[in-house]
Amino acid sequence: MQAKILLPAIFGAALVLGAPATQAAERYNIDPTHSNIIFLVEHLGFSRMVGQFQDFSGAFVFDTQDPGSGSVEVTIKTASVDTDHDKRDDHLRSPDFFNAAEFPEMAFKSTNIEVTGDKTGKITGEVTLLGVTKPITIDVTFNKLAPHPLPQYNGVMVAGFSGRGSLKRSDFGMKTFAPALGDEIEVWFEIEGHKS
Amino acid sequence: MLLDDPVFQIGLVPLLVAFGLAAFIRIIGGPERGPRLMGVAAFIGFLLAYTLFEGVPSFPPVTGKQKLFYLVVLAGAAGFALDLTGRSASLQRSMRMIFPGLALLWLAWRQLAAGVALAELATLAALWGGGALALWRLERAETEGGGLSAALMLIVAALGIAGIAAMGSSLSLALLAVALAAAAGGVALWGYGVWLVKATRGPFGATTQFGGGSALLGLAYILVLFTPQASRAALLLLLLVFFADMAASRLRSGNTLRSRALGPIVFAALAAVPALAALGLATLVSGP
Repeated sequence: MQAKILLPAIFGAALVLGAPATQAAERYNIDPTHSNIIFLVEHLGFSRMVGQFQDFSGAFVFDTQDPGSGSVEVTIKTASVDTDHDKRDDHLRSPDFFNAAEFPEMAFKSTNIEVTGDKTGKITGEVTLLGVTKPITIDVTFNKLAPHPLPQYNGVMVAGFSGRGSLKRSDFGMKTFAPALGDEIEVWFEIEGHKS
Repeated sequence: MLLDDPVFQIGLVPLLVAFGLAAFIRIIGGPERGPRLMGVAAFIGFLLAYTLFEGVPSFPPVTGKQKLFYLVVLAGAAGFALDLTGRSASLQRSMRMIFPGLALLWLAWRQLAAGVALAELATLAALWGGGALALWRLERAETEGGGLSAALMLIVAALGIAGIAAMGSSLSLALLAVALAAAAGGVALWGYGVWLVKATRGPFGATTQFGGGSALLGLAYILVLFTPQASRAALLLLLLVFFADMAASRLRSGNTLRSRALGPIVFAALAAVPALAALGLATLVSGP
């Protein structure tokens, strides 16, 4: 049995000031092939193990003129957890951690977006994991809004964001081997969305 | 810190607490009630180990593992009420049939509410039948060979589930199964001592049957329902543990101290044969 472990992540994003002027509030579908939801968890104090989710979907609403009016929703298939180690991934899917058979999905839904700087903001929202819903705040940086440069994308408008946040897995009832295997989970995301 | 050590939490605590409580209940309860109520020691030992390892689960519980705790509380309390009031055979028979179904309903309610396919219904029916069979065989073992035989079957089955869970990538379920084996072991150890010294067979008790049985069935059900990596075939094979008394009945001999000392050991070894086969199968299916 692998002793290493875990954990969760969440969300998606939207934001902020400084973007090129376009029409008001637009909806963007997250492009999973160019987006990553990554988590880092302390392993016995030696290092931090990195994992990600391979299967997720979602969308965000982004208004360059009024970023605070946006919203984000993301759903993640918990069985898609991937730490580049098959046995460990099986363990992460088990009732010890993500309990993927009983809770196949985790979700994030924003409740508020606060603009904090020229290209930064905080997204507050709710994470639902293992049937428990808790608030979370994510620091987000707006990277770019522009038409996709590759011809096969037919000039679709793409918005890109980076985000960082953290949560305590024990808040969601995921207590196995905590705190030896970190309770505080750092979450990173790199998100691209295509205007729908 | 010792309290944070999983070996202490899931091994020593339930064993020592169950053994100590069994002795206490026997002394306080006297020769009539004492042996009948001793099963509560295993029940408390397991719940204590669960609490140390997992914490007190939220209420209402959300996950199968959290529901397991309350399932054991409820089933153990019902068994204790039966032991306290004098055991009604017909009521126990009904409970053995109904209880596994209620346990399944409790654990799989979310999936059932979302709708289940025919194949899943067949699985649930098999789980219900397997659970009822296990509880019935525990009762038969008690009738034929006393509480110690039934306790040994419970211990071996719990250890078998621990191995299958570990092979199936769920270490926490494996450790809870070990805790159950240790808690039942504490009471069995007392029963073994009494059997050696006084040559009397104590009862298994409805508390152990339903409290311990619910923990065993709950763990097996969680493995089947929510742990795809756990081998279902191995769990099916493990059911043969509950027929160990039939094999052991052919080997029983005299009533000397030596035969009394060896009897339970031989019985446990017989029960361990299908458990080891199940572990071998789980290893083949899941990989080492």
